Amino acid sequence: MTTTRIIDDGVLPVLQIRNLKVYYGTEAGEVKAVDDVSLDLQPKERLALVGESGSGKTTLAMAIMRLHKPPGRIVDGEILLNGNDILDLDEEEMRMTRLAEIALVAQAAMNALNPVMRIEDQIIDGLVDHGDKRKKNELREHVRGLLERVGLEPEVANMFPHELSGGMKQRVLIATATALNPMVIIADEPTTALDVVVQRQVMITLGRLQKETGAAVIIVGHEMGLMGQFADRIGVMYAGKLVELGSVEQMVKEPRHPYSKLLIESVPDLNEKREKLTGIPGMPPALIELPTGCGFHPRCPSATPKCSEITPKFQQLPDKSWVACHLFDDSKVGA
Amino acid sequence: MTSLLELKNATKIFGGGFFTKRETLAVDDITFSLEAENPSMIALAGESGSGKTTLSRLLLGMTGPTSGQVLYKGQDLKNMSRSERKLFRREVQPILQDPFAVYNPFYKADHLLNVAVSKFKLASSKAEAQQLVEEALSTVGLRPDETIGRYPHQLSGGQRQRVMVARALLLKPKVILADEPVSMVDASLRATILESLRTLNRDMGISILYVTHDLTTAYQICQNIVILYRGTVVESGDVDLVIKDPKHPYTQLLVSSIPQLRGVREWENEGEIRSLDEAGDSAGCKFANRCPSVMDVCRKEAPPTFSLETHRAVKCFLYDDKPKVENVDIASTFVSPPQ
Repeated sequence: MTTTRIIDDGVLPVLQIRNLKVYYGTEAGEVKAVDDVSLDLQPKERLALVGESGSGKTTLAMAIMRLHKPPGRIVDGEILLNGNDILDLDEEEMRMTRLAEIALVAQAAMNALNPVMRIEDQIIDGLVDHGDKRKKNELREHVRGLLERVGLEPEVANMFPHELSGGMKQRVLIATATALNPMVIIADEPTTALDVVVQRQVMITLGRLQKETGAAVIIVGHEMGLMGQFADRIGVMYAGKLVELGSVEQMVKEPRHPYSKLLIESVPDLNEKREKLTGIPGMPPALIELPTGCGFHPRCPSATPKCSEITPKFQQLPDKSWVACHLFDDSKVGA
Repeated sequence: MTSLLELKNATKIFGGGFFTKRETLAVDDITFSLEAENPSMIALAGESGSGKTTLSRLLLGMTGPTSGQVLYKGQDLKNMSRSERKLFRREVQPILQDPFAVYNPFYKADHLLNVAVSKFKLASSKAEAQQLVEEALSTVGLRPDETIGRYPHQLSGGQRQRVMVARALLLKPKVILADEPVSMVDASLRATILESLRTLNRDMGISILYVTHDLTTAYQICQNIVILYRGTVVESGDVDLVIKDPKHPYTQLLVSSIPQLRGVREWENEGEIRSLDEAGDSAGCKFANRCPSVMDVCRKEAPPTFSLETHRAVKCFLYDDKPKVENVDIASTFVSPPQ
C-alpha cells in the first residue's frame, strides 16, 4: 500500500487502516483473525464488511476501536483516525476518543444496555464522561432530542431496557452512538435476530442518522442483500483477509473474486424458483491452520495450481476496485 | 376427502390470570385442514408474535385451544384414547428450532433415534434397529459411522438438526411440523436441511408444515403459504401468487422488507414504516394502525375474508368488491403439488 492513496481525490480519508494484523495467541498456535488488511474510509462513506462467521470481520471492527478481546492483540499495522495513529494513544486517551470520535453500535442489543438503569441515565452517563458540563435538565432535554432523532417517543427516556422491543433497543444504541456526532460509526451486525420489518426500520434509521450527522459508517454483516440496501462500498472478508473491495453496484452486478460471486449467488431470490437450493460448497477453513497460498483455493471453483502455492496480492484494478485473486493478476478490468 | 390434521375455529388466549388482566389473543379463530391426499409443503409465515409457534403447538397437541377443536383423522385430540394418542404422536412429528436444546448432553446423539425405535417397537431385533437408524441417517445425508456413537457437542449445528430430521423420518410420519428448523443454522448449511425436507415431501409423501419468518426460503420450497398477523390469517394460498404479487398490505410490507440485490439502496427513499411494537390496538382490523391504505371502516370492524381468485384469500376491506367467504378453511385456497 503506497501513500499516494492518502490524498485520493484530494480528500483525507477519515480512517486509514494500514497492513493491520490482529492475532490471537492460543496454546495451539497463532490464530490470524485479521491478516494484513488495508483500507481507507472516506468522510461520509458507508462501508460494509461481509463474510461468513469466523472470517475476521468482527475482530477487524473491534480492533479499529481497540476493543478486541484478549488473547487477541494488534501485532502490526496502523489505524489512522484523521491522520493520527490511534495505536499510539494511551488507554485514557483512547477511552476519550471512543464515543466522541469513533462510536460503536453493538451487536447484541439485548446485552449492550444496562438492565437496571433507565435509558436516559445510560446516555447521559456517556455524555458526562466525555466532558459535557450541562445541567441535568438540559442533558435530559438533549437525550429526548436524540431519541426523537431515531424515531422513538421521548417517553422511552424513562424506561428500562426490558420495557423495549429488540428494534427499539437497537435504535437506543444508535441514538447513543451518535450522541456526540462522531466522525466514524462502527455498527457490528446491528440487525441480527430482528424481524425483517424491524430490520428494515433499523437500517433506515441508521442511514438517516448517517446523512444528518455526516459520519462515516463501517457496518459489519453477513447478508449481502441487506448490505446492498445500505452501503456505498462493500468489502468481502475471507479467512482473515480482505479479498475484494468495490462499489456496491459493481459488487452486485459484477463481483470479481470467486468467493464474492458465490456469496452473491447464495442470496435467496424472489424472482425465480430454484430446482435445488445450494449453499457455498465446503466449510470455512480453521484459522489456525490455513491452506497454503490463497485461503479460498480448496473451495474455489476456478482454482489453479498457482493458487495453492502463492498468496495473491490485494491489488487495485483500473476501475479503482480492489481484489486479491490470481485470476486478475494481469487484469485490465474496468480500464 | 378425509382430513388428516384439522383446526376448527381454534382460538388460543394467553393471560387473563390472577395477577394480570391483560389477555393475548395468540391464535384467533383459525380453521385449517390438512388433507391426506396430495401432501404439499405449506409455509406458516409471520413476524415474531404473529402466533405461528402457538398455532404449531396446537397442531402438535402440546397445548389445547381455548375454544374450538383440534382434530386428527376426525378425532378430537382431547378425547383420544391412549392408543390413538400414541398413533398421533407417531404420525405427527415435530422438528424444533433449537438443535442444541433437544439433546441431552450426557447421551450420545443416536440415543434419540434408539429411544424412538424402542418406544414405538419399530424393530424386532437389535440388528434390525441398527439398520433402521442407519437408513434414516443416510436419507438425510449423514454418514452413519460419523454420527452414531458421537455426543451432541461433537456434531455441528447442521448435523444435529439433520439427526432430528432423521428421527422424524424414522417413524414414517404423515405430517412433519418444522418450527423454524434453520433459523439457528449457518447460512451455508440451511440449503442442505431444507433440501432434505423437500425430499421427504416429494419422495415419501409426507405433508410438511414449515413455520418460518423467512419468506424467501418459504417461497423456494413450499407450494402454499399462510401469512399470519397477530393470530389472524391475513392472506393465504398459492405461494407464487402471494409472494410474487402480495395483496394484503401486511404481506406487501413483509415482502418489500426482504433485502434483495436488485435495486440497491432503495429503502431510504421510501416513507416511514411502523413496526409491530408501535401498532397499538384497534377495534377493527389488527393491522389498521400500521396500514398505509387504512380506511375509516378498518378501525371500526374486523374485515371478513374475500376470495380474490381460486387460490388466494385475503382478509382486507380493500377487496370488498370480491366474493366474501364465511368461516373459510384456509386449505381450500391451496394448490396441489405437481405430480
